[in-house]
Amino acid sequence: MGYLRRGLWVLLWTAAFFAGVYGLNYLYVESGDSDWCRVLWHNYYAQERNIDCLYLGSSHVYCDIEPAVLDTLNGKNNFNLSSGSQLLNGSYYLLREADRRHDLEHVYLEMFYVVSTGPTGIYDENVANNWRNTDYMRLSFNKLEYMLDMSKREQYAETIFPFLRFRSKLFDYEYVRDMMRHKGTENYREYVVNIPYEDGSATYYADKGYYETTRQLEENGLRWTGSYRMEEEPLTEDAERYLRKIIEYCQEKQIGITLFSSPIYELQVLSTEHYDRYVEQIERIAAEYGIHYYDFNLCREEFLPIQQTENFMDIGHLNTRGADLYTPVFWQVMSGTAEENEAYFYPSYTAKLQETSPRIYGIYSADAAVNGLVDSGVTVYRVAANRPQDLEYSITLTPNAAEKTAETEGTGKKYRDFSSNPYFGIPKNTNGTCTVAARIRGQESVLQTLEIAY
Amino acid sequence: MLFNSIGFLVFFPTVVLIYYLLPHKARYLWLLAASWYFYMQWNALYILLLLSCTAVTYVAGLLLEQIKSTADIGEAEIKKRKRLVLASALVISLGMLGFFKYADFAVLNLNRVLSILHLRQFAWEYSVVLPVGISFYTLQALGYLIDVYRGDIYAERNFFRYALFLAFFPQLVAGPIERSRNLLVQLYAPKRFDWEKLRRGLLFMLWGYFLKVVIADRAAIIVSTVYDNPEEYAGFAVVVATVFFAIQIYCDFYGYSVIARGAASALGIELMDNFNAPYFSLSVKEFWRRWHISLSGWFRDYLYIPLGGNRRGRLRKQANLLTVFAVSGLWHGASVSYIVWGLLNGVWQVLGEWLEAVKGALRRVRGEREKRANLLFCERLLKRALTFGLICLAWVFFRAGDFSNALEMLRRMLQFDWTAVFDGSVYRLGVSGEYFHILCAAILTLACVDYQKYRGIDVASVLLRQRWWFRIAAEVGMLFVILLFGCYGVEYDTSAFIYFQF
Repeated sequence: MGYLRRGLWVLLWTAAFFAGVYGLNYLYVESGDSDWCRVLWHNYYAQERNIDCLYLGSSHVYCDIEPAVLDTLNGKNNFNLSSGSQLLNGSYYLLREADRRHDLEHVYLEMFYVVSTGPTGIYDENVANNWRNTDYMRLSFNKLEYMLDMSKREQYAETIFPFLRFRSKLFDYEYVRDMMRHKGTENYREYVVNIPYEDGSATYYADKGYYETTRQLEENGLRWTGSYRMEEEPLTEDAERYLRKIIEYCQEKQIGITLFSSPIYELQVLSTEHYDRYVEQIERIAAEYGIHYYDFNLCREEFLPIQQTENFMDIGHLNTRGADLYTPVFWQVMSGTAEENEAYFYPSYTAKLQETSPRIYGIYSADAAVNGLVDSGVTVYRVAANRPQDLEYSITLTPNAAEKTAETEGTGKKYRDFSSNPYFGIPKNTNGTCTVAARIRGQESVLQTLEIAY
Repeated sequence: MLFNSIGFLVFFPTVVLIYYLLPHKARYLWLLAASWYFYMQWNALYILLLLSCTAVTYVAGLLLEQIKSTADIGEAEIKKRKRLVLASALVISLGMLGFFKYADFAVLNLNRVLSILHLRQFAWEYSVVLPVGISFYTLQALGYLIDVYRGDIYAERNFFRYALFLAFFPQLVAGPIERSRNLLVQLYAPKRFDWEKLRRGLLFMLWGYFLKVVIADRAAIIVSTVYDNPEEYAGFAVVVATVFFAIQIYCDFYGYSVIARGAASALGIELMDNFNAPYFSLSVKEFWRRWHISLSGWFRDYLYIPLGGNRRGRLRKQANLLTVFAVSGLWHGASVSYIVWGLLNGVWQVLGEWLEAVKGALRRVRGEREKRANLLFCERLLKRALTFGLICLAWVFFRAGDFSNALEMLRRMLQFDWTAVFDGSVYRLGVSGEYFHILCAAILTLACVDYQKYRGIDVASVLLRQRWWFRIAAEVGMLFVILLFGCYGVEYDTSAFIYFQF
């Protein structure tokens, strides 16, 4: 009797505690971005059919690869178990999670360079990207191991009890009200994500880890504020360790594995110094294990004509139109032999740039310190061009009406006439339009003009 | 391994679980292994010091007893030999403590004197790191040895049990400094799993964590903001910081002691209560009967009374008192400011005695026979405020870390500007308004609990007698208060307990 009473007491105590945790999570845990993962995991656990092909990786997977199209192409059950900026440690535990419940045939691991490289990459900062998954995964030893592995000791409490991440909002009653309002909507209760935009486009969760979006990258949005530089061995030690663990896990369990990188808008790749170093390192590791790595940023234009703004929702992600174009090509490559595929790809990114016709893709912020253009009053940008040695650019800055002065009223201010210098500065905290005109060196006619908002 | 670390939250349940699964005879060995492991988490090499202290005092204890039981020599010779053994053990143990704690301080001051005398200074390029807990376990070992010497207890023959007495992990690094008559005896008694003791222990631990992470560590932010930037603050801010330091050090040390008691209780072992609502004391003398009781008791029994105590006249008694408090200050740290802190506390008591003598004389003049037993509420309030004020004044020397810094803080305290009391400047001492109010609410809760304790009511016992739903609500509620309002995680440095440095 005593034992029964004590057992009941422990049970009630635990129930009261977890009721409190549930209540606080409901009141405080931000849905926002993680709504996507909430729906994804709900959808994942609702899968009745065995998942044959698993796609792991970052947002480039859930925006670019359409499982429904692949289902018809390969006759298998395909599922994207991807999440925003998914790190390789996350991919490893997600693979194990999927392998627990499904008889996996093949794993396609997307290798987005920004989340697996350092120091300009973001590999180490991203415990929050793993929280997106752990918050919605069902309880298991794999989940526990994932949580302990991804967090520093000081973060354990926040990893286990999500509401603790929002302690700073404890007295922000407006936030709590908004959260309750959001969580009370039918969409939330029914696991529907549908985000409408002002321009009439929308993004919504389709099925099996795919997000459809009708959003389009505007030409005036071709301004990229990031810039990355690849070291000699760009993968971080941790990322490489987990990449190897993923490959070894698959090989041990006799699950096929292929590595790939989805296409991103050329502007972002051009903003990355020594991109080939990354490709070479992944190829080297893949070769070590006898598996393949395909980087669709090295894909020949005639095979995958994707580098048009209408195929992208933003600099890094395809929209549905782009995904419709990309997914069949993706599968053609994945189902082909290495010899067959060789013809579709350039041997390196440098080779690709040399072989494509001159073009500009936008502007990106350049590291002023590295380039010796330090000016505290301006943000230094560089024109993103595939063949900068063959091009000249003229830059015109036109401030928005509200910022025009008598001097600049009516016309744009020519920053610089045609010159081979790709760098220029835009005054900080100003808005307007930057017009970049490009021409082949020594020619009079303008090859291409971009009007980019700043 | 800190009590407020994730490591301990894994370590402790594991130790408890295995402890109760093992047969009685093996349990103390398991506790010893766990305690040594716990200690080695700071620095594995420090275990050598602990083992040395254990070995020296263990052997000395046995020798003391052997002299008594086997000697066919005269009483005087026995006494002489026992003294020799005791003195040797004291020299070795205190020598180790002295070297690690006072070598830097001694050389620094020796060089100052040599410099004044224009003599060649002593070359010393070492920085001796103080092994955690050495001051506590050394005193505990010496207490045991003196008890054996006096014949109050028998020497412990089982080395491992004796080692556990010194290394018992809940109280190893910051006390309470247990007496062999309490702890060593308990290590013999077989412990059956006691549900009530476990619950009580866990409740203590919860309360201890509340004191540490909700009050002490939050108050520490205010204290550090002011005391680490003395040039930026004066008057009211310094007063506020000093008051919060008094609360911080109390909650920090009391929190540790309560967690230690709770952890020991979960293992079926009762440790002494180290604090008894000290800030409700009506005099400094009473304060020291309620503050760090195990240390005060140790100094009373092993220093104050051997010095003569109060048996050799008022002046000698007061000299003894000052000596004990100066030594107590020095025990806390190798710094002039600690000695001044100790002496100040002694001086307050000496002054209190004189004041009592004057008041007694006045009473006699007025024809009153004896002191009134019941003080009026406002008299008690005034006495408590005065006592708290005097204790806070002494804490300035404790916190400032350096004698000149302490004087500077006191000078700044005098630059009091009343407008600062009302202009919201307390919210600009590193803690936002909302968290400041939470801190005040938590302190108020502590004050209520302590007041009941002062009146002899054990709130834990009262709580454990309540209906099940109330208990669960109170305990789970306290856990959420700790989780929501505690200082831990990435934004905060998991701070060690203040007394670990001593």
